[in-house]
Amino acid sequence: MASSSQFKQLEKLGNGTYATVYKGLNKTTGVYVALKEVKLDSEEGTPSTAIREISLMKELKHENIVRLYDVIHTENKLTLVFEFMDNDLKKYMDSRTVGNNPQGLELSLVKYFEWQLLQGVAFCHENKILHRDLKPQNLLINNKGQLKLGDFGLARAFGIPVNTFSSEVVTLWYRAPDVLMGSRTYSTSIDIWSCGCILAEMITGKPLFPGTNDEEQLKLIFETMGTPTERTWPGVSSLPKYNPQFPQHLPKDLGALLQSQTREKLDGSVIDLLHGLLKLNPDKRLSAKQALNHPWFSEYYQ
Amino acid sequence: MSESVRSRTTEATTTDENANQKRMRAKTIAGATFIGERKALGEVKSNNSWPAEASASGAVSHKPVMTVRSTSKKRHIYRDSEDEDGGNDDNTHSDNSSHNAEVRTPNSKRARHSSDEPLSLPWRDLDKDEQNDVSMVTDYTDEIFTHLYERERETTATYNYLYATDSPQYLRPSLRAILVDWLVEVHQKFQLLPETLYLAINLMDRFMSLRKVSMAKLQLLAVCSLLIAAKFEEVNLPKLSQYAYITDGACTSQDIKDAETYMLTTLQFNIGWPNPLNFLRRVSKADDYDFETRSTAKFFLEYSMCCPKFVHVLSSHLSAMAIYCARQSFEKDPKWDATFKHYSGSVDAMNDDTFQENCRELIREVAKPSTQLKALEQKYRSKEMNGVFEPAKLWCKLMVVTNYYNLF
Repeated sequence: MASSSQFKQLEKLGNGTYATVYKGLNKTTGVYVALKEVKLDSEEGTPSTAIREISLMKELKHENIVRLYDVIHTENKLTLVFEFMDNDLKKYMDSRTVGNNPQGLELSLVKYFEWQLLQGVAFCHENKILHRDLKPQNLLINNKGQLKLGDFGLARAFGIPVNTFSSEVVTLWYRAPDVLMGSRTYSTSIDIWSCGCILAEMITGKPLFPGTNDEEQLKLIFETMGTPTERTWPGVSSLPKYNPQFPQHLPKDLGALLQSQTREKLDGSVIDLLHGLLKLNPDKRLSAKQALNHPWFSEYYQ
Repeated sequence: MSESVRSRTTEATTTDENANQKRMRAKTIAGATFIGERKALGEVKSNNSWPAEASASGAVSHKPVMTVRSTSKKRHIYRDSEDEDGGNDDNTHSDNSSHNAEVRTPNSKRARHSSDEPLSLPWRDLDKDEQNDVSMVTDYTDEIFTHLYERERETTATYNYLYATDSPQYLRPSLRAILVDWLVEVHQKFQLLPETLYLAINLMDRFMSLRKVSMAKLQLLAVCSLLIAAKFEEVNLPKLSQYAYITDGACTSQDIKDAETYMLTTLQFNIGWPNPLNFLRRVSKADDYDFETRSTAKFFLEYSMCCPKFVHVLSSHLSAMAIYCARQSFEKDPKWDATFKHYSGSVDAMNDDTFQENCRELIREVAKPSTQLKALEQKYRSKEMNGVFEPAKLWCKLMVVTNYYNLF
């Protein structure tokens, strides 16, 4: 059992969805940890996000999911003691920017990161948990090249069939088109779209769809992936925020688009995977399990 | 709350709260006094006497203060249509029909490993038909249910604290019934999901199997269980002040906040519990999602959650009992087969003595309740719940007088 006096609080690492994160040192063991401090709401008690994050993360023990070691409860705050990770994917990619030019990561590293990301996501889904906020900032990495999912502040457990949830989830740039159009019956596919966006971003160093609002976000997606129709996506027109006036775009050549932004030669295989992850129709989107069986990853499973 | 309780930490590494049970049984919450005045349980009882429809239907309660202002200007709750069976007038409605309409694509071709499937399963593979329904998450069905069957063993009270002789809890079953029935009522007023009610009952039972709760704090425990369950399950949350309000002054907001902390710590934040509705839906698949059977099964399920006999019984077993009894009440054939066995998590109804005794016990309870569950009965008399209560009760009585003739 830990108490707050057991940890020495070091520098601030950042602000999470609903908390502040510090680096900490376990004085007894000399091991670094991440201390996530959650203020207890004076009105509503323990935030629902904290209740979900803690109870869900306790169920999730996997090498690609950051470990929750302990929870310390003091007067007016909860401190979650997490495994310490050196960096996050966002900061890591930023650190590789040369001048004003974002640089993509080496393809071999992209592949290793994406593989680990999908492993972590598959494990969440097998344990009936949706992350709902996958983005480079929430993917923690260490010096060994390991990648782990962090920040389960928006995560929740789902039943089968999946209940309807809030559509106010996932940071805009990584939010799936069905969710943007107001679908509340999303399921595991919501996380997969984010995995696709992250894959493209690792390749080019730039966010794939950097919209500033819901409308622009959809516009950016449709300009690249094509505007969905009832034929390509049966049922799309009955989504709450579907607009028959959406400008009609044909899908662009995603391979050429990404190739123009990276020096390394992209093979058809990674583009094929990307298409599978970024299917507009959530029904047709690959599952994490299927994605892990994609030929692009063959070196890992053969 | 005392400092020692405040600083108690939960060990993330301990997943099985029951491991510590023996040690914890000895402790009581008496030492960790919740702040504020508490009323005697007798007043819980009086709260319990609100007419069930009071606030929902706008009728004037004989205790006007109990009418929940907040729920009348009700938040929108978008639910799985499944959970609104009753509200949905469509009688042909089944699980997978309506709400998924926009995401179902009968023609979508997904790469599936159909070739891996053995040719002759002893049960009918019903997941296959739902492969194109994204909300059924068929890709992960096996893993998810394997996980749920494990998880329910870690998050169910390991013994029935109401009857166990070495239990720290001297709670009369009738007192639990009052609490649970009150929860049924409050839950209805707050218009929460059924999952939330069951989770609240589970949290309350788990807590009481670990700690002694004094009479004066039973209502606080109940309302706090609902608060935590709602925070875990719901999209739109009632305000904490509404919970305090609905106790009619028995618990203040501060009491509830302190109790929440104490409960979360005691349960080591292990809130996730496999909700029986997951299992009911799954086994219902083997029953072709028959609407009538499911409506009745939901009643049996809720009754088994609320009556005192099954506190320690796993969710998946309760769900199997519910569907079994419901099917028998409609004299459906076969009584149980390999398909039911498979989709119920291997419940072998025809040979499992415990299962059979539990079914008889449930039927006995419905026919001749050992504890009063008025709000629950009222709820299942309503049109929203398809008025399943009377026919189900009649069948149970018939079963009892015929000595369970032909039940198995």
